[in-house]
Amino acid sequence: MDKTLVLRPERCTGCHSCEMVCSLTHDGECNLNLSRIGVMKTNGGGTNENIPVVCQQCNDAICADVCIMGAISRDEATGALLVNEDLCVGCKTCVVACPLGGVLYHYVKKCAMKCDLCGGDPECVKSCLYGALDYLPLDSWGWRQRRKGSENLGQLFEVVYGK
Amino acid sequence: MKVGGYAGQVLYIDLTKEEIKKEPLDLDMARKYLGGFGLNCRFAWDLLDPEVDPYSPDNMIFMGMGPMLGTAAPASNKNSVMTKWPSTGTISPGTAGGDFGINVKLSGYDEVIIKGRARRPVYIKINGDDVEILDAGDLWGKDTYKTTDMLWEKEGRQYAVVAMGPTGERLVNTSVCLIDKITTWGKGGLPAVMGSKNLKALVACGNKGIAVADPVRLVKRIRIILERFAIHPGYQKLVDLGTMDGFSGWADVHGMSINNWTGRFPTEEAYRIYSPEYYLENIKAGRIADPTCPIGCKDHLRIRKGEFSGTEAWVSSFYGRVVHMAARCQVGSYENNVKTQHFYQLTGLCIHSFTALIDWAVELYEKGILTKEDTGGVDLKHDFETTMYLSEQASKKEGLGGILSQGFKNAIQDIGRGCEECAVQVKGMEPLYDPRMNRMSGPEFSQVVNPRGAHAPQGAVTLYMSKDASPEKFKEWLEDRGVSEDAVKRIFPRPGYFNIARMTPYGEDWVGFMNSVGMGCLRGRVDNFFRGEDWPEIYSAVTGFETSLEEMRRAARRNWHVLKALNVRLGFSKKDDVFPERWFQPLETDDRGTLLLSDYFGNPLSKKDCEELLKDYYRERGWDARTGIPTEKTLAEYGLEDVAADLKKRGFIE
Repeated sequence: MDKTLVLRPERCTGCHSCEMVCSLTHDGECNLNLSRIGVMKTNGGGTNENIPVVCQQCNDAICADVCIMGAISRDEATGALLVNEDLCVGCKTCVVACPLGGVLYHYVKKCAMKCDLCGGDPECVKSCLYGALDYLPLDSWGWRQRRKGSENLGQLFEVVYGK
Repeated sequence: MKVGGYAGQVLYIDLTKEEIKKEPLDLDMARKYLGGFGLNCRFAWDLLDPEVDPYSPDNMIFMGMGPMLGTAAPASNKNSVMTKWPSTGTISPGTAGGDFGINVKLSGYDEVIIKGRARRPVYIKINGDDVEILDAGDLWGKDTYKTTDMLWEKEGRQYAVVAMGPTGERLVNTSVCLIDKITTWGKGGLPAVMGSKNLKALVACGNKGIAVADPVRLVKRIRIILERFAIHPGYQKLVDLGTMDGFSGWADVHGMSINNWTGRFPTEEAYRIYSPEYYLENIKAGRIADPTCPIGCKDHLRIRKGEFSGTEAWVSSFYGRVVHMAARCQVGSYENNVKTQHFYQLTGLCIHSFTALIDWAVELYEKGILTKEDTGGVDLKHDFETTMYLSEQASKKEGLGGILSQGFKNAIQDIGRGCEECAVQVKGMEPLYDPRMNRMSGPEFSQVVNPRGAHAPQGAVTLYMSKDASPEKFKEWLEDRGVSEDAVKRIFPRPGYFNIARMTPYGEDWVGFMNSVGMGCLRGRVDNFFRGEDWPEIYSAVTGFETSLEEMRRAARRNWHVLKALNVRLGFSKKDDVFPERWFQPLETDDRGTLLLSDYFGNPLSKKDCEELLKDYYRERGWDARTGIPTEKTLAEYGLEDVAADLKKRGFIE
C-alpha cells in the first residue's frame, strides 16, 4: 500500500526540526531555504498558528505536466514525484505552477527541488515528536481522517443540541 | 578539513557612525571559548571598558550564537547576550530561546556586537549579507506586540523580531525584550540599554546554510536522543503542560515564599486557584517550541472566562510567571494572573524583577517606611489592584512604581529610610528560590555566588531533579557529565552526604557550557533526556573539531573564570556574595510549620556554616578563599595569563 505524508497543523509547535533535518540529510547543511518542507508561522507561531507545507505527491501532478523537459517523474516504489536534476533546466515553471507551494527552487544546484519522501522513510517524520507529521498507508489514513471528522461532528452536535 | 557549526563571521554595528563591519571569526578563539556565552565573555573582556556607564553609547551589546545554533541538533536554540546591566552594574549574560539566534546564524554570523547611539530611533535588519540600520520612527512608543506586528507586516513573518516595549524607551531597568512576542531576553535591562542607543528592535532572517562537518554522524546521534524522548512515559505530559509541569513541585514540595519572604504560599490555595486542570481547560490555547526543541515549553494563552475574556498572550516560562504573580503579588484568580502577565508582555516589564520589588514595597508600606505621600495616596496591598497600579507607574517611569522600576540598587538609594533592611537581594537582583523551603541546593546557593546577581537558573541543573533525589543520583549525574573522580570525592566527603558549595561550580559550568554552544536546557527537563556522551559527539559531528567531555568541561570552566574576572574588574568580590539576612530568620508557614535555613539533608545552617560554604565554593573553583577572586595560578592553568596580568596590574590580585 502506498503511503502518504500526513500533516497535522494543530500539533505543529514551529520548532523547525523537520526543516533542519530535511536540509541536513539532502544537502549536508542546515538551511531553512533548502528544506523541502517548510513551516509557515502566523502570529506567535504556536500550535493552531502554524501550517507545515510540503509536496502532496498529487496523482495528476501539475508540476510534472508543466515540465517541458520531462524532468519530474514518479518513483513507483514510494509514489514520490522526483526531480531528475540532470534533465531540469531550472526554468522554475513547476515552482510557479504548484498551487500548494510544494516545489521550490534549489538556489545552489540551480534546479527544481521537492520532497522525495526520503526513499520511503521520511526523516522529517522521524524528527517530529509532536506528531504534526506522519507517514501512513493511504487506507489507514482514511480511517484516521474519519475518526478526526467524527470528533469534529461530535463537537458540532454538542453545540447544536447542548451537552 | 571541513569546518561546520561556526558561521565564520563577527558582525560589528556602530549606531553612532551608522557603520557595519564584518570580520572573520577567529576559529582558534572560537574553539577555546566554544561560542555564545563564552565568546561574549571574551569579547567583553577585550572590547568593553569596565568603567562604562550602562546607558552610555560606549556600552556594548554582545549577542553570541553558539556553534550548535541553526543546526538540527535537538534543543539547539539558545541565544546569549552580554552587556553592562543598568540594574545591577554587572557585566553578565542573559539567555533566551526563540527564532532570532538561528536566523542570525543562518545569515552568516556567530556574534553581533552593537555599540554607539543612533541619532533617531532605528531598528537593525539582518538578512544574510544585507545588514541595514533602518528608521524606526513609526515604531517608537508602540508596545512589544504592536512593534512586532508592524515589523512582520513590513518585512514578512519569516523574520524573527527582537522588540522592546515602552519601558525600554524610558530606560526602565526592570525590563526585558521579547523575541517574536514570546521569549523574554535580558533581565536586568536589555531594553534600557537598547533604549539608550535609540535601538527599538532587531529583525533577522537567514538565507544561508550552517555547514555540518559530518551529517551522517549528527543524524545518528539525533535519532538516539529523540528516541529517549519518544519512549519516555512522561513525555506527552511534558508537552501538554509545558513549564506548568513544575506546578506540583511548587505547590506541594518546595513552594514559594510570600509576604516578602516571611511566609509560604499554602499548598491548598495553590491547587484551588492554579490547578493544571484549570490551566488546560481555561488558559492554555497552544504550545510553542523553540528551534529543534522536543519539549516545546512555551505557551499561547487565551483567557476564556470573566471580564478579561479574550485576552491573548504568548509567553515563555509560564510556570515562573504564574508563581511570581501568585506568591509575590497575590493577584488572585488565574485570569487576574494572566492579565497582569499580558500587561508585562506588552510593556516589556520584567516579571521576575518587578514582582519582587512590588512585594518589597508592600512590606515597606505596611511598616510605615513608605507612606501615602510616596504611593500617591494609594493603599499598597498584596493584590491585583496594587500590582497593576505599580506596574503601570513603572511602565511610565512615574511615581513610586517608577522608582522601583530601576531595580533594588537604585531604589534602595532613592527611598533610603533604612529600606534595605527589608530588601531580599544579592548584587541588586532578586532571588527566586527560598533555601528555607527548598533547602540549600544548587540554584539556591548559586543565587549568592552568581556574578550576575541572585540568578538561579544558571545555578545547577542538579536542582531540577526531584526533591527526593538521593545523593547517589547527583553522583551519577556528575560522573556522567564528565566531572573528574577527584572532584566527585571532594563533593562527596562521606557516604550519603554532599557539599553543595563544591558541587555548584559543576552545575554552573554545565549551564554555561550549554549557553556557549547554543543549547537550550529548560532546567533539568531537557537535560534529563541527554547523556554526557551526547555533547562531545554532537559538537564533534557539527564542527569537525574532535573533542571530549573533559575538554568541553575545561572550556566551560574557563568561560566562568572570564565571567568572574569581568566583574572582579568592576570591583566585585567576596563582599558582594552575601546571603540575604532574611534567610537566617525562621520561616513561619501555614501548613509546613517553622522552616529554617538548612542544607540539602535538612541540617540547619548557621551564618558560620554559610561562610564556610562560600570558602568551599571559591576553593573548588580555584579562587582565593579570602577574596573570592580567581588566583593567578588558576587563570594561568586555563590559558588566561593575559586576564591574570590585567587583574594584577589593576591591583585585584597580588
